Order: sequence, then C-alpha cells, then structure tokens
Amino acid sequence: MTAYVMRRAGWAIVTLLLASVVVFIGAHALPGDPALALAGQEGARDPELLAAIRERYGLDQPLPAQYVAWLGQVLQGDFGQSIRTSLPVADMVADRVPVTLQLAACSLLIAMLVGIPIGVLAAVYRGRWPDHLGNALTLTGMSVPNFWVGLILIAVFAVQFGIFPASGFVAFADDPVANLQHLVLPSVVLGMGLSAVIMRQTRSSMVQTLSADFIRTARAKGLSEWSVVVRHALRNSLLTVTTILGLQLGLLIAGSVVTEQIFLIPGFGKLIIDAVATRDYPVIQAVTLLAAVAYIVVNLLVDVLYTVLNPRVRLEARAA
Amino acid sequence: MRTHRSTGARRRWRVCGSSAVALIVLAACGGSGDDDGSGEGSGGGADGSAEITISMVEDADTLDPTFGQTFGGRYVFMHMCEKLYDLSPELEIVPQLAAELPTVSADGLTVTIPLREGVQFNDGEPFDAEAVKTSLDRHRETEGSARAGELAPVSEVRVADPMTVEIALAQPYAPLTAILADRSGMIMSPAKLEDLGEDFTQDPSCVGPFTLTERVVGDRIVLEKSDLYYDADQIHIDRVIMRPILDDTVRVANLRSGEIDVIDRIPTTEYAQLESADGITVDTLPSLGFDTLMLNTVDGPFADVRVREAFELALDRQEINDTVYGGLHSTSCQPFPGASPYHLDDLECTERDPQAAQDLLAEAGAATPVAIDLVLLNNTLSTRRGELIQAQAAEAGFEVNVRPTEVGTLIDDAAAGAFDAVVLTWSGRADPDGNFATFEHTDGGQNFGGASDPEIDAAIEAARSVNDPAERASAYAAAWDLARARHSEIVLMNPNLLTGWRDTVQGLQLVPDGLIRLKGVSVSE
Repeated sequence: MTAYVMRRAGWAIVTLLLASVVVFIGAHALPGDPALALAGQEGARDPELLAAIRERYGLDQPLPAQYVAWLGQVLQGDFGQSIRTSLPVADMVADRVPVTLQLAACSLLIAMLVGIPIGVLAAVYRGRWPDHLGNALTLTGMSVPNFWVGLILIAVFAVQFGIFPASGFVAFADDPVANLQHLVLPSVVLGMGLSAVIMRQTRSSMVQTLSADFIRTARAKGLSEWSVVVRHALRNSLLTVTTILGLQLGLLIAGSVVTEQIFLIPGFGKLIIDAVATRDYPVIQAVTLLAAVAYIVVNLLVDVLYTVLNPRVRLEARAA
Repeated sequence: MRTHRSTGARRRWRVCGSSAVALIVLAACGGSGDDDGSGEGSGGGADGSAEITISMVEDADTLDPTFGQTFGGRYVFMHMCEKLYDLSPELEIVPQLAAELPTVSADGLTVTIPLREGVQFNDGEPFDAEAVKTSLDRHRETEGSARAGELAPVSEVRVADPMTVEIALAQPYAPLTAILADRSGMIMSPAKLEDLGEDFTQDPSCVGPFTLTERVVGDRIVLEKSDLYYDADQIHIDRVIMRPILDDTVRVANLRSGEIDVIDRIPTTEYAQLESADGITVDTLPSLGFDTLMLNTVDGPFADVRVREAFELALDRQEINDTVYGGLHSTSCQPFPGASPYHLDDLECTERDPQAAQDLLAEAGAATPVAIDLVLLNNTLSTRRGELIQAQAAEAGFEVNVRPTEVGTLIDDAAAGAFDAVVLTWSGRADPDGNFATFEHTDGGQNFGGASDPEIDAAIEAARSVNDPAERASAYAAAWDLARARHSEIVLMNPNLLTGWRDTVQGLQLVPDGLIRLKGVSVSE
C-alpha cells in the first residue's frame, strides 16, 4: 500500500515538472505581446516604453532563461509580479483558491444529488419511462451551454424575482448567509453539466452491477429490493463513479471559467480569463500550474481512495 | 462471515458518514430561506454607512499614475488621485489642486502654477510645491513612464516658492494644461514614493476624496472616504466599490437587480428598456471620444490615397448609426467632438456614393473587388458594424474580410501594421491635440496606418504652440483640412455617454470625459 502510494506520488512529481514546462510554453505561445498589451492602444508605437516594460518584467531574456528563473522563483513559493497590475501574483492567486474550491464543492454536491438518484432510477427502470426521462435530462444538461443557463437564471431569479443576487461573492467568514446566497445560482449552472455525466456513469455502472451474480444471490436471500439496489448494487457501482468524479475535476475547472465570468465570482476561472486577455504571463502561469497541481493531487487521492474502497486494487498493487 | 460483517459495518459507517457530509454541504449550499437577495448594492453598507457600487467596463491596470495605461485606471484615479486641473461638465479646464489657471510667460516658455493651500495627502503628508515637483519629475524621468511622452516638452520643474511651481518648456506647448488635468497632473505623496518606489501601486496615496482600502484584481476596488480631504464636506459617500464587468448583458442585469448602483456604456440595444425600467434613471451626453477607422497607408490597397478616398465614399455613417446603434450615437467625420469648442460646425461629411467610389478605384487602376482585411473588436455591436461596412463597401467594389479579434491581438496587429483597416475606439481628451496628433502625426501613438507627411506634422506642431484659443481653433481647422485630404483615418462617429443609475443615487452629473465624479452625490436607502 505505502509503496503503491509512493510510486504514484513519484509519478505525480514528474508530471508536475512536465506540466510546468507545458504551462510556460503555452503561456508564451499565446499570440500577443504582454508589453504591447500593457502599453495599450496609446503606447503601442512607443519603442522606449515597450523596451522599458520588457526589461522590467524580464521579457527581454531568452525563453529558457525566463523559464529557469520562473521555476526557481516558484519553487521558493514566489510567483512573481503581475505585468498588468504590478501586484504580487501569489496574493492575487491566494484570494481565489477558497472561492473556486467552494464553488467546485457546491457544484459537485449538486451534481451528485441530482445525478446519482436519477442514474439509479434509470438503471432500475431500464427501458421504461424513468430511463427515457433521465436520458432526456442528461442530454439537455450536457447540450445547453453554461453561459446561456447562467444568463437565464440571472434574468429569472435575480432580476425578475430578486431571490438570489445576480453576481459577486461574499466570503463565508464575512457573512455566511450572503455567501451561500451568492453561490446557489453559479453552483446550479456549474453542477448541471456534471450531473449529466454522473447520471450516465451511475446508470451504466448500475446496469452492469444489477446483472451480477451477487445481486441474484442477494435477491435469493430474500433481501428487500431497496436493500439490494441501494446497499449492494449502488455501493459497488459508486466505485467507478468515484473515479469519474476525479477525472471530472478538469470539467469543473473549465466550467468555472465561464460560470465565474457570468456571475462575476472572483475565482480561478475569472482570474485566468482576465490574465489571458492582458497576456499577463506570470498570472497565467501561476493559475494553470496550480490547476495542474489540483488535478494531479485529486487524481492521486482518487487512486488512493480507490484502493481503500476496493480491496482488489490493493491486492493487485501488492502483487505487482 | 466475520470478514463480511465487519466490511459491511465499515461500509455502513462510510455511507452514513458521506450522507451526513452531503446533508451538511447541502444545507450550506442550498441554505437560507431568506429572500433578501438584493445584495450589498443599493444604498447602505452593512453598518448603515453610505455605499455606492459602480461598474467599470474594464479593470484598472496598475494604480500608479506614472505607469497607468487604461481607461479603467483613470476611472478609479478620479476618486483617489486629484490632479492639478480638472474638466468641468462644460468642458472647461478648472483648477483642482492648483489654486487658479496657469499664467504663461510672453514667450510661452514658462508656466506658473499657484497651488491650493491647506491640502493634505491621504497619508497625512502636506501638499506643496516640492511634492508637485517630485511627482512631475517622476512622470517625466522614470524609465517606462507612460507620461514621459506627453510631458516631453517640459524641460524643468522648479519650486518658485513653497506653494508655487514653475514649469519651463523647451517650446511653447498649449496642451500642457489639459495634460495636467489628467494622469500627468496627478500628485503622489512624496513620502509614499520614497517608501515604495515603483511599487507605489501596492499602497497608493494621493490627495483625493477617497483612499484605496482593498483591491481584488478583476473583482473589486474598494475606496473609503478620507477625513483628510480638503473638501470632505462635499462628500456624502463613505465607501465606493468599483467592479469591472466586461460583459454588457451582465452589467445591465446587475444594475436591474440592484447589485450595482451605476453603470455606463449601456449597450444601445438595452438602452430603451432601461429607460422605462422602474427605479432606474438613464442619461446621455455627447462624449469626448470617437470611433475611427485607421487605414494602412504603407502596405496593401490603401497605400493609394484614391483607394482610401473610395472607401470613405463607400460608407454611410448614418446607416451604421441607425442600424447598429439604434441612432443613439452621433455620426461624425472629425476628431473634434460635438461638445468641444474646437468642433468644426461647418464641416460636411462625405455622402455615400458607390459610383464615385468605383470611378476612383478605376482611376487608381485597382483590380476590383479590392480585398480589404478589416480588424475590429470581437464584441457583438462591433462585429455587426463590421458586417454592415462589409455590405456597404461591397457595392463600391470592395471585398471586406471582417476579422473580429480580442483586444490584445487587435493591438498586436495594429502595432505590426498587420491590417488594411482597423477600427479604434478612443475615449477622447479635452484638448484637441489628444484627439488629433495621436492619430495623424508621424510619431502619433495611434497612427498605426503609418501615415507620414511633414506638412501635416508641421501644422500639428504649429497648433500646439499657439496659446490663444481662437487662434488655436483655426490652426487645428487648417491642420484637419490637410489630414482629411490624406484620408488615412475615417472618423465614423462620436459616441454618446449612456449611463444609468439606481434612483437611490442622487446628484450625479455626467461629464463628457465619461469619468464619474462623486462630489455632491449621495445615496439613500
């Protein structure tokens, strides 16, 4: 078990180093020059101004040198200075982490609360109307774009009825009630697409499990249908769903980009959009690198969790 | 059997545990049957203080007047960094931190500015001539200063007495007063500059009705009322929250729901609806800015002046305004906005004439259709305007490829000359030089088409050196006559400010520069 985790962790570090290279190259491969973006419409033809900006942010150095300098800084926990605002990137990012985490957690929860029960019903009533309804719901959930649903929800619940605020974010510590009110609409929007994925996964996994021998045995033992479905079949099916959830973190991060933009939530997604628009390399790099870290860590956790949930994996790992 | 039982028990515990967690989070996320969703916007803050939330169409960049480059930045500075001069709603330059308008020596080379007495910076430092000199020198001399260009004619700043500065010029320079009514005229606390140097933005301190207390980049800038401000009696607001909202639809929805008290640049498509909405006031005023089409005079089909003239003849400005902007802006074909005393009232814009345009193309020997690469911003209205230009120009023998791009790429392509035509929007300046030279002078910051003509440059420089307003006006009229014949820039329209606010906000008055002033403004519950 420990060896297994250590090996996964080792790979995670290698992956992270590779990710840092990709992140760096990716940011610099964006069309557009940060010095020009900063100089703006008025300063774009002023060579002295552009040269001064490039020198100030080390953009006049060769790319490999810039990478080494950046990585060295990052390893010491220093993410540099934003080109756009001249503020320390670490501060800009630190404010965002709890925001996006809370949004992701609430979205995930909504997605599970919606996706798992519908998935179970669809599997149990396979081929009948709950299944068809579930399918229709998932298709809708996956096809409707986030930004559209977001705007509709704002128009209805914020502008028309004034039940929820249209935008913004209040820290939980400042005002718990306002914090939750601000999170409802964005979490629904972000959770919707994910609930479709979870529902489909739960359904197919349940369908498979329900036809397994041990289910027949359970029924033969005279267990109630509820007990068979929930305590035996669902518990087994959730193993695959858990794995899927880990992989869906990418979807959540990607979805948060759009959702945060519409609801003006100061999280990761909004930060990266603003940073890309202004070619703010240090910010783009910090945010994408941290997203990569989050992705890798969550997948590592899922791997570990999987061995806890499923002893078979543990045994195989020990045998290997 | 034992194993099975114990696993079962563990699983049961796990399921219970996760259900409990789920319930807690559910309660947390769904929570609160409380219907008070109106948020923090309207009227008061949580502690009963007067609070106003203003949206910005873009976030500020660095909050350092020496380096700042954005309209978003100017929007914030207005509340926290006063200038030697300001612009009145009637477009007159009025003293702000200066005690009165400057006196200019007979040779036009020395400008004397007396300063307002009894003023303190928001960090408690006294405001005096020494402080003014420190800031002006920083604007002029710091490497990478975005102000150095416009202050280039200044050769020295002298402290004449503790409350008077003298600015020595290398040549007469009439735009100076207007320039000192913008970022170049912002005076920073010398103690803070000493302390923070180029990191001034981390804790900026100027003279101003408000002072910066919080900034979450991309989300909000929070300013609190300053007790040290000399005119604090006129400030009835305790806290200003400025929130960048780039998306037009989202900005409007937030005004309607009450999260935001003031928005501007209302999209023309939403204006009528807001006008009739309950609890919202809208107002409009001609701005100082304009939208203009810069043509690449160096490379491509527009290198020929006849092709450029033909393109202008292909366009119908009125149709563009009516179709795309619901007629809410004003058509214009000059860089001097309607509100400006330099506006050329008698100037007639070219009427659309596709036949004349085709004749010109034939005369120029251009093979039709002439392919044009038109670069513009990728928002809805801008793209729609591009498509209309495409349709209008098609009838005159042009095949326009509309290329909507985001702002970073637009500036890149503009600076690299990678376009035939590019649409620029300009927030405008009070002094005619800021609306004209930047687009038409060979060295102009926004002369992306690379137009260069010594005669026009000389005319612009001549207009700059004249101090008498009437003489200046005729100098600019003459310069524009020359520039117009060059057809390197096609001014399309003079947008109106379209601003809306909640009825809880009282006393707001629009100023053509589009920056909100809060002096005398109050908010009620």
